Amino acid sequence: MPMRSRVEVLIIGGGATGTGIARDLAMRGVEVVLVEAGDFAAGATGANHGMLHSGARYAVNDPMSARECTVEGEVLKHIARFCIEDTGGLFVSARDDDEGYMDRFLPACREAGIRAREIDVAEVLGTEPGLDPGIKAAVEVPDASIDPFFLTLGNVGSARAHGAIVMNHAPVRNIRRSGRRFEAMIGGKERITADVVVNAAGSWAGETAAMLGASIPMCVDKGTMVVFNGRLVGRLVNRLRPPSDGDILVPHRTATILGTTSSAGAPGAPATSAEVERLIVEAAAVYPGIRTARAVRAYAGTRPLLGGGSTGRKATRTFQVIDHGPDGVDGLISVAGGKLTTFRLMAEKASDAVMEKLGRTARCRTADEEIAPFDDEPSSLFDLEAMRYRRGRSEGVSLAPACGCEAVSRGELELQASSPDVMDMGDLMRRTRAGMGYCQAGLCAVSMASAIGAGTKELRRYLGERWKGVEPVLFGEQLRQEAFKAHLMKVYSVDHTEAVE
Amino acid sequence: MSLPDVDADVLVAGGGAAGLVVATRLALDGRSVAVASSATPATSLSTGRVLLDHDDPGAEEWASFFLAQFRRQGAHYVMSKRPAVAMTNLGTGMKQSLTSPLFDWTSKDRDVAVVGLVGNGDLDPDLVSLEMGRSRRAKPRPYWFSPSFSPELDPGGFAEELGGALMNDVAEGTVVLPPLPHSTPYGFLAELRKRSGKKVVEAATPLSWPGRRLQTLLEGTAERLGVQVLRDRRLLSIDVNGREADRAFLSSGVRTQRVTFNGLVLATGNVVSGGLAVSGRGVVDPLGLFRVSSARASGISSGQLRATLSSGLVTRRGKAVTTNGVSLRNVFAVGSLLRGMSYPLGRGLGDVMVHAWETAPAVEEAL
Repeated sequence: MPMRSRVEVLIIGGGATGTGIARDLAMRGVEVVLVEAGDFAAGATGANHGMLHSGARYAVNDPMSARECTVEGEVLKHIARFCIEDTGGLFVSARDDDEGYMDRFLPACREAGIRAREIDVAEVLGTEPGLDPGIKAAVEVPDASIDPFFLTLGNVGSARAHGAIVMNHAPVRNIRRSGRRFEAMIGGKERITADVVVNAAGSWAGETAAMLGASIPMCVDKGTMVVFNGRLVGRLVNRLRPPSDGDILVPHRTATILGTTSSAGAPGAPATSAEVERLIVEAAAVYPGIRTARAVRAYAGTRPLLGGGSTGRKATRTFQVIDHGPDGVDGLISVAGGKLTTFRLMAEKASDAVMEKLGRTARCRTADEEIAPFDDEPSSLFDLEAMRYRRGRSEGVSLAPACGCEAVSRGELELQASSPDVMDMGDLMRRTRAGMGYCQAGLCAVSMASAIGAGTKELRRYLGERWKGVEPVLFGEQLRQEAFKAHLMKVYSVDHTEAVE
Repeated sequence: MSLPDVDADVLVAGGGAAGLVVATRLALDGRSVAVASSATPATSLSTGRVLLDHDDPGAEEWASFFLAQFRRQGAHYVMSKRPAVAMTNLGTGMKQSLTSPLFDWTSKDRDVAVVGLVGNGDLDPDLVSLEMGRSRRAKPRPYWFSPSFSPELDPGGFAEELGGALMNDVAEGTVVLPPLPHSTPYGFLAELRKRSGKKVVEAATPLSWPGRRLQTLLEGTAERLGVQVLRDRRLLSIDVNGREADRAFLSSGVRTQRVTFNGLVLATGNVVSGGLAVSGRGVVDPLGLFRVSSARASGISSGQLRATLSSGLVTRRGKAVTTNGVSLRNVFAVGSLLRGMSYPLGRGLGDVMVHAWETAPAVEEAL
């Protein structure tokens, strides 16, 4: 990839926000380079619940965030159809929940502009037979299910199509002021100078700002989620009560994701079995069958929330664009807080601030144009270039199955593996979903290794990384699955339960 | 609905390697034996790797009997004193004592080509070459071959084309191919050897054919000796009278079947095969009848998975012990159902089969 040594804007961080800013600025004709230390969407974005908020969850306690979600949720349903499943959502109140919350909830939703409608409990039980027959009330809201990996990769594709240079596996080694500009050393060899630096490093935004002597009022909050095999619910099911742990079941692709928790925790801290148990106990109040459902994996992310007093559930979910000019670092702009649902708005506001710094004018167009990663056909639901390969439109591509859980072909693995962005098995997984299903890469790991030309060392590293998410859910059927995986992997002299650093 | 009653000297529950070996030896001694087999056994899913302890006379006895039986069915397995190395599709090596004509790639072979077949994703020659060079300092040379015939549909055409290519285009003396479909006829590799003048072997991989072929050979051996193999049968319950079991119920779909016997051998496998069940975070006997505990083991980092895999039926002098602590006079357990016998913590098929072979006389004694 050609490296321009001098650009107008350097963006640090390849989550939804950073890639959204790259897309926004590139569409306005700005010369940008984005650098991501790991892979795109590998931080808080990828550890997201997979939920496109209608805003209803925040309507009562955090109306500003609720309004942002309401507007942005609808925008995304138009511009990112390829990675959104418009399932709709429900809020239900369990047997022991306070019924008084409904009296505050409905008016608050109305106030925020959310299309919320109370519906008959019997009707809900007809369409969602797994819910506890004792639920007392139900409200319908326009929540949806979103794939954060594909959303981010869609942003990357769109930004590149508009001329941006976007790189993963490109950590910033150091960054300093050089006259009126910034000079950054990327990955130990590339030197980039930029007029403006945008810090969109999510949970690492504090450290990134500190490299330039600036600071951000942030708090990092750990949230854990459990993935269950299959779709247990048709619509998103939220708990009709003030936001708390284990409130939400999201039907997502081939799975159902239960979340979340909220506690202090550093980025990278794994989910624990205690958290998993707490989530299951909470969710059982509205979905009793969750106790015997097959948990496939647990994962944790850290929410980069705005600091300034409140923490955890009390901290606002809104965001802030910070101009570090007043702190003496003119030209550095940080974005903090926010939600996946509002990433486009965050990107718009950050890009506006960048344009002002550059002294340029051009209007934001990200809400008008579809993020169309795949050019020649309408991007319908989850419709991907890769799926066209699956259907055999291209010649010379193997349709033989590689990952049976997620129906990924060998051809699709090879197609994605040929991308210069794909360096390891994790990169391949995020682009194809191979390895994300109930066998947790037990059967497809070797095909994935083959596709990228990796040997047992990488196989060990990747399975060790997967293991961290499996360990907290080692009960019932998944325990049998992992015993089977131990048999298979021993053939390759691999102990898949060994976490390799 | 029910299936006809069965009466046998011995009922063996489980039709994998352990069950078939014990059944075969009992039948050899003139006993009437029924084997209840529920589904695809773990043996079928294995790489067919058999590692034997050559100091164990039981192993010699087992091998001399079964190798002759395998040869009668057209498969020329050989027992080697120095274990040969089977190469996996990722280029790791596995030692094995019982080598088929397909798996006799020994560590002495330095002059090796790895030939990938386009369309068969089970062996990537570049990767194997890289990994073998790294881990075993072997330097197999990678080749790709694009076949125009299917090895299953037209083995003759495939052999002719591939044999010619191996002879003309491959310089090395030994050729490793991807695992061929399990329906590829015996003698196919011998045919390739004849045509190419080279030693032709296959790579090992789980979920490919080698385990299935071993399973077929073991089933063939048992059935030749008159063992009645009841397929698609699940063990529902066992009737216990005092310190003896005398009757069991099997199911096949909605139908049930009653089996009366004088001796019972449990060979239902570990948690993976369903011989043991998982309840919460622990391992239990699915019938709720027998005592289960875990053995000391090593080889897997995760303590919980290690405990799960090393769990098995508690036995006293080979006899199964009930949850009440009573050892049943005529109920035995063999194979990976036993504590610590489960691969990868145990030594795998070799141990399992030799132990099953050695258990048969004790079963006869109890009859």
